Amino acid sequence: MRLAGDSGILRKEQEMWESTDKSLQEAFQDLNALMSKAKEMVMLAEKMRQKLLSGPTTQPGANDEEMGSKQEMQDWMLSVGIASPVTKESAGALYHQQLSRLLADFVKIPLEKAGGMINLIDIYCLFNRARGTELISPEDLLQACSIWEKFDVPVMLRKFNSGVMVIQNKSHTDEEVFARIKSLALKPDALKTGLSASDAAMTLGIAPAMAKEHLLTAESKGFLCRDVSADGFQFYINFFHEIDPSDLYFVKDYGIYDTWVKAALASCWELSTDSRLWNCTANLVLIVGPQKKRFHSHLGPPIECDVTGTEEIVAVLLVYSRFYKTHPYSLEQVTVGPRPDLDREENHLDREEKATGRERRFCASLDRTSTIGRPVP
Amino acid sequence: MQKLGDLKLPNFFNYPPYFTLQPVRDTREKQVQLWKELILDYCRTQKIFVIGLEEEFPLFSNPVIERTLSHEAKEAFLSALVAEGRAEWMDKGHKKCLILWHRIQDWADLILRFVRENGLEDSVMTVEEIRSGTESRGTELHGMDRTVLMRALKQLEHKGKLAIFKGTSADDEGVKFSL
Repeated sequence: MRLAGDSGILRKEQEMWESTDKSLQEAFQDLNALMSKAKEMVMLAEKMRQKLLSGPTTQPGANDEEMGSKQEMQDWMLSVGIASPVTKESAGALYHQQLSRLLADFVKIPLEKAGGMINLIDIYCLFNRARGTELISPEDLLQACSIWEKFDVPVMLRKFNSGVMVIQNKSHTDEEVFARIKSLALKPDALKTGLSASDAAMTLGIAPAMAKEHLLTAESKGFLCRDVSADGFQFYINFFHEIDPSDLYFVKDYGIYDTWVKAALASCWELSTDSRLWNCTANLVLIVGPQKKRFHSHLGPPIECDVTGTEEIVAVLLVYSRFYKTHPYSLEQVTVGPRPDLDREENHLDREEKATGRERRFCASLDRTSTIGRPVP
Repeated sequence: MQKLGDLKLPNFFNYPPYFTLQPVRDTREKQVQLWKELILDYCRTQKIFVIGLEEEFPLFSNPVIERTLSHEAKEAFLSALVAEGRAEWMDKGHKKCLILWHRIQDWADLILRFVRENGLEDSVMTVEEIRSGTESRGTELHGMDRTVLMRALKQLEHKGKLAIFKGTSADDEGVKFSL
């Protein structure tokens, strides 16, 4: 055949195409052969499976041998990739047993790093990342962890009410954690402004999600109670059970309620008998109505409450100031001297100031931008 | 001590969790008990008979700790009072609650005592006179809520202690005592 010219090129292409087609056909033939063989294999496996499922024989003598060969068959099937037909009740397939042992070893180090408790999802990631290939599925992980309870391993799987699952050191008992949380909640800061999940996490050295689970569990046991507000979600030590409904004002000595009262409502500074403080607090008070008094301070928004004596005014200020930790209301901050920010060239002493011979004392700068006046009683 | 009106506020009024409805059952039971007592005490000292859930009620918020009860919490505490018989819902929507810091029976007894102490055994008074007249001044009956008063009077009418009748003017009803 002459391979020249256009027809030659065309013919060459045709030949190439034909040979490709031929080899494809051959390959597919092999594949078809494989598939038909595979079909036979699957049928064989199914037959074996059925035999395994049929249960032990009635002849007592042949029992052990039967079990042995059954175990072998199971292992072969597993290695071929066919799932074990036995139920969760049994010790589980060899694969999961081995995985379980492997996991128990692997989990030791991350557990320590995480402070004794680690999220199951985190272990899944860590383990698979370490494996590199032949990754395990979430179901494998779950099954392997469930096997732990049958063996004497120092770790356990635990499920919280919220559905979160964790792996925990057996030694990391609940009682221990509650004791630590209780002592955390009794610290002065926690008594004043509560304990958040992130605070607990930092102090206990565990992940915030874990800390939250612990706090919630402690709450369900009655050690803590929650405070939900615009500021966030905090927990406080629980002392509701110490309060007697028939005597709302009684505080038992040395109880948790007493501790809280002393810490949270206690003074940020020593109660002073300095008359300047009384004068200053008097200056702070703007009488709005016959019963109500409104406090303006540089600490925050004005508060209104009903008080009758100066002692009570100070007590209220004490409670108020604890929430502005960054601006502790201290005696030093109360300026009693001449106002430094006022230009006396422009703002002469007014009539009252001249009469009393001293400047008005304010502890907060006057806000002359406000268009709302004092309400007329 | 902090006060709200004439009521001294207990220390736990500054405890932030007091203003969050607690989810744990035992804790919540305790919390509810404390709120019930406080609500009754406050209403008694301030002579408040009706609490409206959609309005601001001074006891339900503490500006010092910047906490206020949620609507759900208010309803829970008031419902507990209703269950105990110390309050009644005035509407199906649970928007207004009548607070019986004295039970109707107690009010009835107070009316009887008032009548005896003032020698009004066989006399006639208008309902308004009972709650705002000169005789009742200084007693607990003064400034009473009209609804509550009518309920107490009706209870006494049932027992035959008095008779309620419509007055000559369209407005007020009268009461003839017959102890």
